[in-house]
Amino acid sequence: MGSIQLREVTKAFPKSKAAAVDQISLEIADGEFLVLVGPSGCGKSTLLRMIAGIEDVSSGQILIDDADATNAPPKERDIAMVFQSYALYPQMTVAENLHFALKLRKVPKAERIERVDEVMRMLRLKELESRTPGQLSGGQRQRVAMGRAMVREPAAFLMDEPLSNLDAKLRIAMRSELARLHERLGVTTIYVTHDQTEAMTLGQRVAVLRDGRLQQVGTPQELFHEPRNLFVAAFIGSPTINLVEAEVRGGSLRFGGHAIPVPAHARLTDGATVVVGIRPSAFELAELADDAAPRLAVRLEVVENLGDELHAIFPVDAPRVDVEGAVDVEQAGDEQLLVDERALFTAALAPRRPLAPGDEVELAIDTSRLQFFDPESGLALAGSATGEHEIERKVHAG
Amino acid sequence: MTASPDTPSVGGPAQVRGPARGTRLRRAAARATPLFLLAPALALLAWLMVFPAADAVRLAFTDWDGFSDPKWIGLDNFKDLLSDDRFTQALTHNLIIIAVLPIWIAVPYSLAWGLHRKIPGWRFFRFAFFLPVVLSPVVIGVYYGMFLDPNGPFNGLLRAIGLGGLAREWTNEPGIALPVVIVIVIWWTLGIGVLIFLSALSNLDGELEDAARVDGASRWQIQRHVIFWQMRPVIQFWAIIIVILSFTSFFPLIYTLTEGGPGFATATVDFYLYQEAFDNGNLGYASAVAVALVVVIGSVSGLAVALLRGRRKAIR
Amino acid sequence: MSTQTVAGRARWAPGSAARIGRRGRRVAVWLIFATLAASTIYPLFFLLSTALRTSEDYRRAPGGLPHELTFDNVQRAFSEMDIGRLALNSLLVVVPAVLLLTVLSCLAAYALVHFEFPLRRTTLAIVAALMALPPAAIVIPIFKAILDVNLLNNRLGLILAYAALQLPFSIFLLASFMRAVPGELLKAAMLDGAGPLRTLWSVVLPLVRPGLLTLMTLNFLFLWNEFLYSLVLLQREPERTMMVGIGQFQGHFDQSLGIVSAGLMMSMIPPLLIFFFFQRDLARGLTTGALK
Repeated sequence: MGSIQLREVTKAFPKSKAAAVDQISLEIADGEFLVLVGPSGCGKSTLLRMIAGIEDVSSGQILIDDADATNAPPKERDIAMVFQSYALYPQMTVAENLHFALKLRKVPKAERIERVDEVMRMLRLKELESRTPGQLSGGQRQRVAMGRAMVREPAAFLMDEPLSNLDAKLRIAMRSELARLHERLGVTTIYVTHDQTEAMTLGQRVAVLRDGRLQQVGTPQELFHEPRNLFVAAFIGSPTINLVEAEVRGGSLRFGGHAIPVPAHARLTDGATVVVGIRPSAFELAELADDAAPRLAVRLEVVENLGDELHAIFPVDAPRVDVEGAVDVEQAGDEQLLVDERALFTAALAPRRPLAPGDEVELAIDTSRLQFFDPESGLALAGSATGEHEIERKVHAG
Repeated sequence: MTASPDTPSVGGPAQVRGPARGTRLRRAAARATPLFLLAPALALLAWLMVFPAADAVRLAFTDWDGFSDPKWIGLDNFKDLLSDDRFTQALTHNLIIIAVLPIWIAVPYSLAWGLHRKIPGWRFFRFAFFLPVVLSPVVIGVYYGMFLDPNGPFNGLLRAIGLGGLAREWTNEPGIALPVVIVIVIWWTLGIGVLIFLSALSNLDGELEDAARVDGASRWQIQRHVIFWQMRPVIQFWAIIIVILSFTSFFPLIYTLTEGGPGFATATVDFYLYQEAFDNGNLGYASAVAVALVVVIGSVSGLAVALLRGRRKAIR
Repeated sequence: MSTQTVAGRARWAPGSAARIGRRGRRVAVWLIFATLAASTIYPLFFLLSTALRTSEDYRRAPGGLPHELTFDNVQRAFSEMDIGRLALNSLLVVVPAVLLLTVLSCLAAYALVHFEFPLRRTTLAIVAALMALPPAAIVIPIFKAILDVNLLNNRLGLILAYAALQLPFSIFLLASFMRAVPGELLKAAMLDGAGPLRTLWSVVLPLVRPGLLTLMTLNFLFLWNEFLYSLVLLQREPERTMMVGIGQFQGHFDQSLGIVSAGLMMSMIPPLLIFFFFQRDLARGLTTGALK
């Protein structure tokens, strides 16, 4: 009823060399919730608009329910869209906004009223029905925009950053409402966001885009534990993964005066230089860790206490590894005030004991969770993170 | 230029008060600062705008030749006005001009729409349409005087393309001269309208249009429910501007193009006002004409706005 | 990311008959645009060519190209129409008026936007209301006010009248630019010890410089082209301004189209320079009011 297939879909703008969307192939199954995520300007919105039919396709094919819809006008595609600005008709009341698309489609009045009423009940819009969008709060407008899409009972929902105009608290609340709604309606949904947390929490599968190219598609677990390249590794996960260049010598990874044994799962050639990725949660205070785990003696520079988690930030005497575009403008809090060429690592620790800047602590690393990348191509090296997380993923998928 | 209705409601940024610290004297000085800053402008406005505006009403009740003292004659001027054929005629001309208001809106709107849709050569067209706006009415009047002369280029062009039968004295034939003047004024002011509509069109909410398309609206439905609705305040603004322009900007053009002729066929109220005041020396009577003019402008603009607002209820 | 042009959007490819029909309509629309553009460009060509040809040549083909060029009309515009003097007269009125307007409106807009005082809103409302007052409607009382202070036929009288007429619009325009200057910036300057005037000069004005430029070009253009007040307030020949001079000359000497055209061409030089170099500023100034 609502599968969508993209075959090498491309969008080229006449005046720019690089394609805004570059040969993207994706299959979205009926009823699936797929999130398109990437930094701003990566082409995710353009791709969504092409699926909606409001942006034309330079080359490639779009199939909706196995029928070629590449050049069909929007009204002939059975899709509904929720916009970032909600795009509610300002002159119409809430009820009129919901009725409008059905009226245009010449749905009989009785059925129209029934469908609109049901959606208004479901979204608690009944008491707002005769207000105009100007008299609604942001969250209410968001619900009307959702409702407008729902009354259409379309084959698929397309959502373009639908939560980004809400404040942080409301955004999180609406996020779980969206998930529940999808659970209940089971309608195919393609959801665009720049926020990786939103992507990870909402998507059954997540497609990561960068510069118009598809980087990786997979479940949130796959993206987190088995990123295909440095970009995905750095983009997914919060706090951001720690990256450092290390030399493989004599069975050890050497970086910034530290040496840790090469884990068993990694197949690395001696003498090679690799980029090591360490998730902040792969660190643990030494006294709580398994004796076998290798230790790192560090001096803390900043300590952020989040209550149930503690972020300890410490320098590592090795050059920083920057992944272009992975840190989004919206998350620019990571921007450094003080120029520091050294790598800064973040460890996410259980707050078992008070820590303060300047403290010398020993941290244990769970080496089974290390990820390795080729410093030239940025691609993940075979043998990155396997083992128990493979199993964990399967459990999730099942 | 005209006031947009919501100018006075300044939702501006945080207001700066004078420095909080300091003696009472300094605080008083700080409080007086804005008054010092405003004083020169307000003095000039009071002397040459506010006071004259009030004085215009007073003078309308007098008989004044411009030299001796104005003599109070009560309502005589207004009584005369009611039975003044020339005034009625001029006012009729103005009302005819107002009657073509829809064209005056539709033409620049359509042109702006074409430019907005990037018609080939739109940059050049935008440039060209704006050109007459910078020209003085004197230039326009004299130019069209030559261009539309019986032996001028326009008739020459008509003859050249085999339409010589249409050639005529464009500015000197009753029944034709006024429409010609109206076309010239529409042509002249086109550029401002296009400019205003174009910048409003480029500020449209593109997502709303997309939403309507996804909802299944046709081009015409989008135009009606999405675009026209968003453009309405701008159209209202333009309507008020042209109502004012139509009553007050014909004078220099008519003065140089037709001098109100043939006969009185192209005279407008502002032209008549000038003639009465400065050619015939009836400044008191002309003041009554001015008062009538402002009253008519006010009611016509009000009507125009009300009509445009009325459309709102119709949309649904 | 969502600012693609309309042209770049998907358009359904209809059947070929419909396509041809649409193409035909497009060509027709384009021809209307082109004709209109020709009608706005042609006056420049026509006046220039008429100014540079003899009247015999003109009579032969009024709308066409001149056979030979002559500067005779230009010379006679200087000698008979005294166009140089007319230009100077216009400048002697317009330039001081523009400067006066700039100073007064800067001070007033600054006070109205960045200070709180009793009746601030009322003052703004009055300024806005005065903008809607058509100049033609108050020409008689302004004439009287100028007459009463013995400034009739004195350039100062016209300068002051011009300043008053354009002041509401100027204040309104500058205020809309000044509103974009954050109040915190002014507060910071005052905490740093700058007085109100110093703050205006060193903080506000540099930030509204594009606005000032827009204001000055617009005012110059309006006043340079202005006709009615100039006609009424400077009635004697020695002070007569350009537009009035040309308007009256053409009425009296119907034969000398070449001279009038030469005069018109010269009167158009400042507006055309402004048009070519400050088109963007003009456009911004003219649309500011509409989009509020």
